[in-house]
Amino acid sequence: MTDTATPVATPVELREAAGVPVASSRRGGRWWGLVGLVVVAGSVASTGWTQGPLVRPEGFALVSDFLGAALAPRLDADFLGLMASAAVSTVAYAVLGTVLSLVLGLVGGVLCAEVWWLEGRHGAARRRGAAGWVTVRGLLVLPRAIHEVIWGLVLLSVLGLTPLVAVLAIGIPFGAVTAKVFAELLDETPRRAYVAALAAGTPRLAALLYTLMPSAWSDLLSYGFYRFECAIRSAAILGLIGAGGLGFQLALSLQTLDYAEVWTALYALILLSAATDLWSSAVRRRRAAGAGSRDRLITGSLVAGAVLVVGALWWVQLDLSVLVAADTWGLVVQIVGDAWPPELSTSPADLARAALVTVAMSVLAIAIAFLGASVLAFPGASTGARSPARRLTVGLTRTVLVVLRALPPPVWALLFLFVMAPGLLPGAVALGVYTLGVLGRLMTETVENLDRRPQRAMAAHGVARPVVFCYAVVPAAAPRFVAFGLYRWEVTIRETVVVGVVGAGGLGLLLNEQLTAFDYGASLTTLAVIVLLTAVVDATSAGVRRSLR
Amino acid sequence: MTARLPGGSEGPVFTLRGAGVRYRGVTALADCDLEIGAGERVAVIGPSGAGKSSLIALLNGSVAPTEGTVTALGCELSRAGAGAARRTRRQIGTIYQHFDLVEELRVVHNVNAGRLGAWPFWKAALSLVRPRDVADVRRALDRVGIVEKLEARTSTLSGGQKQRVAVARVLVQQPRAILADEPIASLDPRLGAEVIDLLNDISVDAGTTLVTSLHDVSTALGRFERIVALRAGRIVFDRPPAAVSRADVDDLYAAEPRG
Repeated sequence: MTDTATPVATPVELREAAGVPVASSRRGGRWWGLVGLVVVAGSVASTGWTQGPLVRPEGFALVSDFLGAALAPRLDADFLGLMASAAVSTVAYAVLGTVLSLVLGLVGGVLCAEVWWLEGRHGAARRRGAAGWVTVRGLLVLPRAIHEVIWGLVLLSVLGLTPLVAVLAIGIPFGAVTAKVFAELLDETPRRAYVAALAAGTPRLAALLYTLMPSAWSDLLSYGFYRFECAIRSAAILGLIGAGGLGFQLALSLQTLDYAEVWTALYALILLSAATDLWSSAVRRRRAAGAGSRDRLITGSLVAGAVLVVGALWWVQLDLSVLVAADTWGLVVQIVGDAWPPELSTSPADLARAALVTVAMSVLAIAIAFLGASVLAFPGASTGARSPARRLTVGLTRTVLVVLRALPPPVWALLFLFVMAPGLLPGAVALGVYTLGVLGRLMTETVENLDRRPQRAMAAHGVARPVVFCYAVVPAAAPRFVAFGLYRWEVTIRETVVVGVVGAGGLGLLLNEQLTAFDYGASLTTLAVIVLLTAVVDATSAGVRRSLR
Repeated sequence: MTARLPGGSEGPVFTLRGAGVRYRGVTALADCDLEIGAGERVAVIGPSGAGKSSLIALLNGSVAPTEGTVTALGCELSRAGAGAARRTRRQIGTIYQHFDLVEELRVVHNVNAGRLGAWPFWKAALSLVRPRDVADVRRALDRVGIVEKLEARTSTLSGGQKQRVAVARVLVQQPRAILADEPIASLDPRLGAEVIDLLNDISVDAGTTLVTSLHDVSTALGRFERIVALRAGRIVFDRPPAAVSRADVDDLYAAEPRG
C-alpha cells in the first residue's frame, strides 16, 4: 500500500447497487441501528429456538463421519475423470452464460442509457426518447429480480434437461444486471465528445461507438470478469437442481451419503471457485491501476477468455433447435395457459408465513455475515507492518474468506441440514457463512483503502495503537461497512430463495414444491410474491442508505 | 461530398430571427437577429457569461432556441426531422475549447470521427479495427502540422496538439461552415495565434464560413472581418473591426452596463 491517500473507488461489483453512499448522519444512524436490532431480534425469535433442539443429536455422528472423510476424498482415476468432466461442464456453462450476458448487456445497456435516448434531442423528440428510456428500463426490471436458480427451475420445466438451461438461466438475469451497470457506465462517461460528434451530424450508434465506448469499454471488461466469477458459482448451483456439471455430481453423492465423493466434489468446487476468484480480481486490480492493452496479464486473460469460449462451445455442443421446436412452444403455451390467471391454491396465510420466513432468514444471514466480516476485515487487511506473524494472519484470514465464499449457499445449506433441525436456521447460517466470505473481502479492501494520514498523525503524538484503532480506523471504516452490509442484504434476500429450494424453507421451498407438482398457477403467485419482496427489500435498503448519507 | 441542400447554395449560411435561449429560467440569449453569409469570417466577443457559447451551440443545433428561429444552411435544425437535421449538421464543423476528443483513441480515429456522418455504420465499426481512408487523415494532419502523431494515443498529446487534431477532424469533415467555441482559451498565446491563423487560412482557401467566439479582443480585431459583440445575452454591436473603437470595447467589458 502506498502512503498517499488512495481515493476509495467503487468496486465494480457494487455498481449493481444503485451507488453505495457512505453513512455519516449520526441521528439517522442511531435510529436505523435500533430498528435493525429489533428486526434481528425478531428474526432470532422466529427460529423457534425456545421450542426444541436446534441441533440434531444424531447429526453429530453424521458430522464426525463427514468431517473424517475430509482427509480421505475419493481419488481413484475413474472418479477423478468423472469429476474433471463435470468441472469442465460447469466452467463451460459459466463461460457461455457470461458471453450471453455480455451480449445482452451490451445491447440492453445502450438501450437503457439516458445518453442514448435523451442527449441532443429537443422538444417532441425528447419526450419520445424519455418514453422509450422508461419502457426499456422497466422491461429489464423483471429478469433482474428473478434469481438464476428460479430461471433454471422454470427453464427446466420448458426445455427439459439440456445444457441450454444452465446457459440461459445464467445469461438472462446476468444480462439484465449487466445492461443496468453498462448503462450507468455510459451515462457517467464524459459526454462532450459525444455531443460534438452529434453536432457534426454523426448517427447516434457511430457516435456512441467512437466516443463513449472507448472510455466505458475497459470497465465493461472488468465487469465481465467479475460476472464470470459469479457465473462459476451459479453454474455449480444450477447443477444442484439438475442442470449437470459439478453441482449435479455433488447432489448425487450427497443423496447416497458417500462422503468421500462429496469431499472430492467440494475440493473441486473450492479450487475452481478460488481460481476464478483470484484470476478475476487480479485482472480487475490491474485494470483499476490503469494498465492498458499492452499489459501481459490482461492480454493473456483476453486470449484465455477467447480460448475458453471456443472450447466451451465445442464441449457443450449446444442444441439450439429446442428453442424453435414446435414441442417447446407448445409446452410454453400450455404452461402459460395453466399459470394464468395466478391461483391461490396455497392459502394466503401460508404464503405470508413463507414470506416472513424468507425475510427472517435473510436478516439473520446478513447479521451473521456482518458481524463476522467486521471482525475478520481488520486481520485480513494487509496494511503497514510486514512482520512474518502479521503476514501469516493476513494469509490465513484471506484463505478462510476465500473458502467461505467458494462454496455456494445451497451447498452450505445442504451441509448444515445434516446437523441442524430443518427450518430457517440452517438456511440462515449457510447464507450467512457464504455472505461472510463476500463481505469480508469488500470490507478488507475498504480497510486497505482508508486514508492513513489521520492514523499516522495520531501515532506521531504518542497515542497507543489500540486507541488509534478506536479513534481513527473504526470511525472511518464503519459507515462503509454499513453501506456494504445493506447492499449485500439486497443480494441475500434473492439467495434466500435459492437456499429454500434445497429445503431450508421459505418461498423458495414453496416454489420448488409447486413447480414439481406442475401447479403453475400457484407458482406464478409465489413468483410474484418473491419479486415483490425483493423490490421491497431493495427499496428499504436504498432508503436507509440514502437517509444515512 | 458537399451535397447542396435546397435553398442552401444561395442566401445566408446562418440566420437568427428573434432567437433566444433560456435554461431553467436563466436567459442565456435573448432577441438575437443575425445573418451570416457564405465565406464570411466572424468573431463573436464579449465578457464571460455573455452568451457566446450559447450562440455557437444554437448555430450547430446542440441547443434548440426557446424563442425565435435559427436557420442553418436553409434548414431549421430544431424543427427538422432527424435525417434532415443530421444531413445539415454534417455540413457544419465545430471546434471546442476543451477539444472534446476521445482520449482513449488513437489520433487517426479522432480525426476520422469527422467523417462518421458520411460513413455507413459497418465502415465506422471496421475502421476502429483497421483505420480507413488513412491517406485523407494524413493529409489533414499534415495541414495542421502534426502528421507524425497519426498513430499516437490522443491522451499523450499536448493541449496545442490536441486542438490541432480537432482542426484536422473538421478538415476531413469538409464542412461549409466552421464554428469554433473559444478554440484558444486553453492554449498559450503563441499556440493560440497559430490555431486562429490556421482556421482563417482554411476558411479563405475553401471559402468556408468561419464563426469563432473569442475571449481575446485583440486577436478578434486583428484577424477577422466582422465582429459581433455580446453582453448579457444580447447583441451589442455587429460591425467590421475598423469601426470598433477603444470605447466600444471598454463599454463591452465594463463591470456594469452603462445607461
